[in-house]
Amino acid sequence: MMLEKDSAETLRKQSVSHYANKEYVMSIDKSSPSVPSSTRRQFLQLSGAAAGAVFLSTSLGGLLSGVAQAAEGKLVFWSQLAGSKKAAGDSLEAAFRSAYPGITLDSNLFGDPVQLHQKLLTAISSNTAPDLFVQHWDYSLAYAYGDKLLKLDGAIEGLDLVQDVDPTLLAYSAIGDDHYSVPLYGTSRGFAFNRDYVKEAGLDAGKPPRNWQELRDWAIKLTKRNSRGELEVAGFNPFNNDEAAWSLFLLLLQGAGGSLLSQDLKKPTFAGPEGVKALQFIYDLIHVDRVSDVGFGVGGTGTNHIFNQKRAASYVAGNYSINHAVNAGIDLGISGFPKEQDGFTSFVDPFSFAVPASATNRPAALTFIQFALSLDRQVAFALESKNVPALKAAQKDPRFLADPLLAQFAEFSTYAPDHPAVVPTAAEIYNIIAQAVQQAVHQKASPEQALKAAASEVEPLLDV
Amino acid sequence: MQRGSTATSAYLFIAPALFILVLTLLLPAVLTIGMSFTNVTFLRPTRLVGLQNYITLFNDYRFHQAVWNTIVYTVGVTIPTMFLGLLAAVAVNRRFTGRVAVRTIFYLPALTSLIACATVWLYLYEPHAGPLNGLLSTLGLPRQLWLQNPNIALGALMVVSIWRDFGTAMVIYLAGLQDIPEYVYEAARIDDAGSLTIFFRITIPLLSSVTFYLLIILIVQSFQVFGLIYAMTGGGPLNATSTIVFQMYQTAFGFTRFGYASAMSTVLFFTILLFSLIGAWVARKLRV
Amino acid sequence: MATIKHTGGALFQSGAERFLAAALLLFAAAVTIAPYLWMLSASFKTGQEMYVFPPTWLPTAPNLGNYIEVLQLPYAGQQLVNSLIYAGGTTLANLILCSLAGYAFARLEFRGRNALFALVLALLMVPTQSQIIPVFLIVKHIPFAGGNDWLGNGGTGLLNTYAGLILPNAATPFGIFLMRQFFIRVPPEYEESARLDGAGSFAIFRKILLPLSRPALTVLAILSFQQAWNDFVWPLILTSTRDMGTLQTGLQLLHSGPDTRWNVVMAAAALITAPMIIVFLSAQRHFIQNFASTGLKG
Repeated sequence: MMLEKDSAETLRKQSVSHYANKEYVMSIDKSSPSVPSSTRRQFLQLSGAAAGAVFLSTSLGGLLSGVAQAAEGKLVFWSQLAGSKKAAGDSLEAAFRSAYPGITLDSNLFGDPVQLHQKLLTAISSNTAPDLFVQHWDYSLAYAYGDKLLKLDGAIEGLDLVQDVDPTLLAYSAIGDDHYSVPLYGTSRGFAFNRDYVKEAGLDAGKPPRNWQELRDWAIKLTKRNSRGELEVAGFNPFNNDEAAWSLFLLLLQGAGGSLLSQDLKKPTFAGPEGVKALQFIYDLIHVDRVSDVGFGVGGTGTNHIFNQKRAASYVAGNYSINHAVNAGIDLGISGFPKEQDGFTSFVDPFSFAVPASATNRPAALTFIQFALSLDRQVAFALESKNVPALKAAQKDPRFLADPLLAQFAEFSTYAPDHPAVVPTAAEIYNIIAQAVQQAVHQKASPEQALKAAASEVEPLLDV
Repeated sequence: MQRGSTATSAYLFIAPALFILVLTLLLPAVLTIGMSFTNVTFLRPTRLVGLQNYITLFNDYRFHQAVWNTIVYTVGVTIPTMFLGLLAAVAVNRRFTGRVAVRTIFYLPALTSLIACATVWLYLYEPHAGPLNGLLSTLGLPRQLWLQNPNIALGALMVVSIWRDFGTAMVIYLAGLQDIPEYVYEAARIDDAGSLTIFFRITIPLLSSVTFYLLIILIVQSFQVFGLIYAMTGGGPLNATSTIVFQMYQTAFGFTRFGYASAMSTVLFFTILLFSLIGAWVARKLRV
Repeated sequence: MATIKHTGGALFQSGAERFLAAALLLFAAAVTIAPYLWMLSASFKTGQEMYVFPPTWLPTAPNLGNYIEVLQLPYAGQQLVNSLIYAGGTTLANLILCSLAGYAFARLEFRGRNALFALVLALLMVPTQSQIIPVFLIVKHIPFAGGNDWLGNGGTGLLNTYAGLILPNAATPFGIFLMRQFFIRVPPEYEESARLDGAGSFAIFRKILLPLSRPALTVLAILSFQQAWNDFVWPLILTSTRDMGTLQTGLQLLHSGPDTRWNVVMAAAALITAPMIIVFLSAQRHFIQNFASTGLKG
């Protein structure tokens, strides 16, 4: 029974790739971000025709190109393309399989970057690493600092990393001038709001905040409390977990003109006046403007996120937030995240391909990267997974720009700083900052004290 | 000759289990202790750092907090879990209609996947519309930020833990109750002993080896609590629910500092040992 | 008073007490099962309804969509088979190895008994979470397995095998300790007479102690099965091919960061729990008064 299911699954994937061009058309048709059932129906209709074609091509291919197949061999590929990225990952793999029948793609999937990291660490230390993987950038950077990854500059045919790939995303792959990973996609951050609430509050959804003062005004007006003073809708949700806490801080820090680390990445600079101003702003939102309560909405993710439950009118969102908000029936508005004075800021989080130095099938791994970074694949992956494509050309492609929300997030990524804090200890640094933010919010320390203490903890982590 | 052959068979009986324990616990434990004197990351060249990890550890206020949280958690979870487990075991050992159902229900929390348990409790504790605060409001009591207030978050987690594990304690006690023969109770009743007297004078003493087992197991497990924290609070707010193993996991797999994590592991081992000895001593004093 | 047979713990004797006890029991059962029912309720909700706040207690339009989606996930069947083999194998190994070792520690005299038992107790206290990588390396370097030479090099050892999954859990200090604690409760008279009749240690173990220890073996079986069934980290680390994944590794793929659809996760969790409920139901009938026992040591 399992076998049947598997082969049906394979057929479905292959049919997708055989009609790859059609799929782009369908992707553009997807005005609604949820996976449209029409697409599925078309897959089904196509799969009948495709089944025959696939059968013929694979059996013939096997007969005719036996030698070539053996030369190209097996490609072991691990990724964290689960959740909303799963369909896009499946399509990419199916397309690759049909484009390169000589390569046997053996892929495996892991729930999140930390799980994949556990796998990669054990695999790298025991010489059982895959040929290729997609991982969150900071882990890959740690592998690269340990000399465990292949340098990719000039390694991929027809792809000039510096020329072709979005520089803000590529920045996270670099050690000096060398690149040890290639982004497949990235996420960027913006300001998301519930248009219905905005209209109700008498605000103009067409003119979202362009500076901190306007952000503050919006948040105050959007806040709803009942007669007993209990919070019903937070005007602005500061954070629901550690990651959101440092994200908000980082955006405000940048907005005030500061940066996490010094230009040479050797010194923490986030505890300077800009950082204090940023943290004070968060503090004031909660304790002075009362646009949210301490702890409100903390812990909820996915369907349980308070914005999706319509209990927060606005928050810092990433492109990965689109699906849920739209599925929840929220009239979603997005805008750049405002700086202190006029203008917008953002940051990106790339997820990148990397090839372990011990990979047994480098050519196949590099072929896969080349394939995934081709214009058509980049557009298809970005649209299906709701992410920002890594390829510059794909970000400007009309098929991509046809998704209005997604196109906006691609624009936000251009607001990200040119010199982000690309250090392998990023996870630990973020954790320390998140703690500092919460210490100030919980009134255990003043913003200045909290940041000073955090900076002294971060300092030794930059000595790499 | 008899003794000699007994000893031989004893070694034979122990050998397979011991082999596995040595291979998969002792050897890794020795390796872990060794790693605690290095800066191993499994990525970069490893260097011996002597006692540096331990020195850092003794100055790490987050680790201090984690040790304290873990101790509070262990003491707070172990005793109520055993008590409720015993009570439940005695209750469902009687014959009554629906006994199987009640037994199963009490054990259900232990059977349910942790993620599901965590999600459900996150909702029950939800400060603004969760049923628990709803109940408090109805009673005219102030609402609580159960998991968001650093002062009560750990307590809230302990309740979940007790809810989840008392069924396991029940099952173990239930097994222990099975071979207390009926005539012991009959004899006591003839002596006109009250039910509480019987419970404390007969049942509890006859269960002492089971109680000792449970005590040690619960101490060990509570000290190693991880999954619940990971799924419910991520150690927050403000590290109020961060435990030793949670920090160890984060240090090892989040921050790739295995040398430091190994030092945490070693300290944890000795802490568990210490508390198990204390537990055993207290149990002996109380004659339970 | 004497009409209530097999009162076990001998609490709850009088009518009033019994009524109170029944009420308490009912209350406790309700509190205990509520979260479980909540999980079931969510598993029948549509994606739309999951966003509703405050959540509805009962699904407004109950549907099986989440269950169908979960059942149709690729590899679901293979994952079920793998989980059954992992949990079943672990349980069987524990029943045999832990009861043998527990018997030796409880009833047999031999040199080094206390030292070895102290070692088992010490190993009980070893934090396993920090040992994942060392254990992984050991399992990979098992000699002669998976293409390894006698030094354990060259191949993949027990990676991606059922044997590798089961090995680290095949005998646990918990299990040995449990069986020992139950075996020491059996009165010595039993084996003494058998020993006088010339029975060997193994015969006594098999014919006398094992049958007397059914409740303890049941506990060991339930706990071992459950531990392996719910285990996520070891299968994740050990297996790297999709066809070796377990239900827990499959479940992890469903709740991936901000994408999580909790109704689908709940359906998967409910399905994964079902086999364990069956195991528990069929095992718990062994918790009945052991009429054979005539006395015991405290």
